[in-house]
Amino acid sequence: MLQVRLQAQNTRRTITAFLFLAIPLFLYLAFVIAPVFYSFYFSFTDWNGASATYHYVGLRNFQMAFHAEYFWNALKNNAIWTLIFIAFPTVLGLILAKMVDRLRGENLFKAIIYLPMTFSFVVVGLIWSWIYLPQSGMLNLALDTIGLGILKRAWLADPATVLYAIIGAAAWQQTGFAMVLYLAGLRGVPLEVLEAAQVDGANGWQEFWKIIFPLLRTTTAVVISITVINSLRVFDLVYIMTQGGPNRASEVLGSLIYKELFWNFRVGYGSALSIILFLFTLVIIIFYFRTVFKKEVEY
Amino acid sequence: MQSEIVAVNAKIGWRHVLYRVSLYAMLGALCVVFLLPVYGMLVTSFKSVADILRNGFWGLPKVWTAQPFLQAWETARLGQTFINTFIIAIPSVIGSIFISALGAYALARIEFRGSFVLFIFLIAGLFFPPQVVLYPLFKWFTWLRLYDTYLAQIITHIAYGISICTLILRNFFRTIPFELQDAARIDGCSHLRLLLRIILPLSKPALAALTIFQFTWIWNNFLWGLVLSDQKSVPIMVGVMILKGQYLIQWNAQAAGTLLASLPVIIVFLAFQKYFIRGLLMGSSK
Repeated sequence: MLQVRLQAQNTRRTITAFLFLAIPLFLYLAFVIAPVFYSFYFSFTDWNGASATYHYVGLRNFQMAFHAEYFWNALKNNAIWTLIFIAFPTVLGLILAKMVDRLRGENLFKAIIYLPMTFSFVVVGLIWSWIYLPQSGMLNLALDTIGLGILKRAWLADPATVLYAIIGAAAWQQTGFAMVLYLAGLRGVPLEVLEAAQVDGANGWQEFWKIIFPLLRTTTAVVISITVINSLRVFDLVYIMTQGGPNRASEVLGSLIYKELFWNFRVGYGSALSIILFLFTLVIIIFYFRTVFKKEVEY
Repeated sequence: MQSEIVAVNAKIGWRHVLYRVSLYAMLGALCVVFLLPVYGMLVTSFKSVADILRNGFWGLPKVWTAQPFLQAWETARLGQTFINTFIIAIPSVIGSIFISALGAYALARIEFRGSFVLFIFLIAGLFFPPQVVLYPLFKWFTWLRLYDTYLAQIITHIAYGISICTLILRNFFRTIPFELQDAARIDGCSHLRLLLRIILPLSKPALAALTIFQFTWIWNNFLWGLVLSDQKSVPIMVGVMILKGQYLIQWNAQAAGTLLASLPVIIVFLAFQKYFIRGLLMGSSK
């Protein structure tokens, strides 16, 4: 008797829960999940986006991608972006967090370093396009001023520098993000632990590497996961600053897919590329969730 | 505790002072580097093109002029896109938060089988590369005759806001004591009233952080506007890109446009920095 009543209660609770979930779940399924499946479906066709008919072409789009040099080129650029982003803004964010943590004037320093985060990619892209201008750009003028005029170049027009120039702009914007997360992580390090280390005669360097950094392991995993995901899906800055040029030197998967879909009308092929990008991202998403929700799953 | 550490530090004496001085010097230098691009945008937007060509981007304007702002606002019609973005952003922010609050309530406060899996499923969208949904969305809104309407972008922003809003709200709702809920339920209070009367009023910190986070994100968005608008519903960041195309070497107008486009978020950031940061943190490390 009791069991039956409990079961009825369970069912009722589940129904209530799904009534609450109906609207968000519907919107999410219709406009986030369904389009992914739709792209997946397109990726097996030769659709051009306009014609009424199209053919099923199996895996041909994927084969084409893996045989195209510009696909590997874009992937390589994403990889370079990811590695530099793990190495540079992340480490700088950690160092900055350690520097300003509990320092007098902390709030002012934080506000300045966070400020670029508030800018849109469009704004960042435009500002840095002026900085990189060959004649009157700030960077070349600065190099002139400090006597390094020999290094001057057209940063965004030179295939050798264009990708790094764009990454520089992105790093300026996003260093603050790593710093936010690391500062929160540092706040979680108990003062007693640091005190004990100092009493035991640990110097600053040892204290940081032996005690603080290991305690920031989860933070680091979170920062790196988000960095990798964001580096895989970069689009805006590249599109705004160079549209992938010159001669694909700054092409990334995001810009390549956009151009295939909306410029070349190769919907089938572009969708296949987007599915490849999606699968890469999915691996990182799974890693990220396992890190962040480890505790909760154990309960 | 803090004072004891300071005392230990003081014993190290001059090395400590040297450390402090170099720390501030390094931070100061870094801050200058971080601010230079913003400074460049500021001074450029008050210069004439001739001034830029003659003196470059660094110096202060020889003659201060507000002409670039007029050019960006009126001639390049950035003003209209400014209004468009408010029309899109306000319902998107409110809609995404309220709709997600319903789902987050169920996930946080009603026990049912599979709630955690559903939660993970709903927040996974946070990290989807937008490229994978771009073309289907574009096609659907065209078929629905919603292409180049505010509604297309509002729906998209709400749907893509569900992940972050659900993540933050569900986690926050769970921190509210359950005794409150049990008492209210025994008094015959429905779940919906519980959410509206008790849970949401107690969640003001999360709601504030989320509002600022969503507003910033939507205001700064570029890609949805690029794909879903053409003439009538162009959001400001796409407007800035059009401005760049129209005034290729009139960097002063471009700079004025970017400054105008950034102002609302800069103001929000300066006024609510604490909530801005809290939103970032709640969104990434639960």
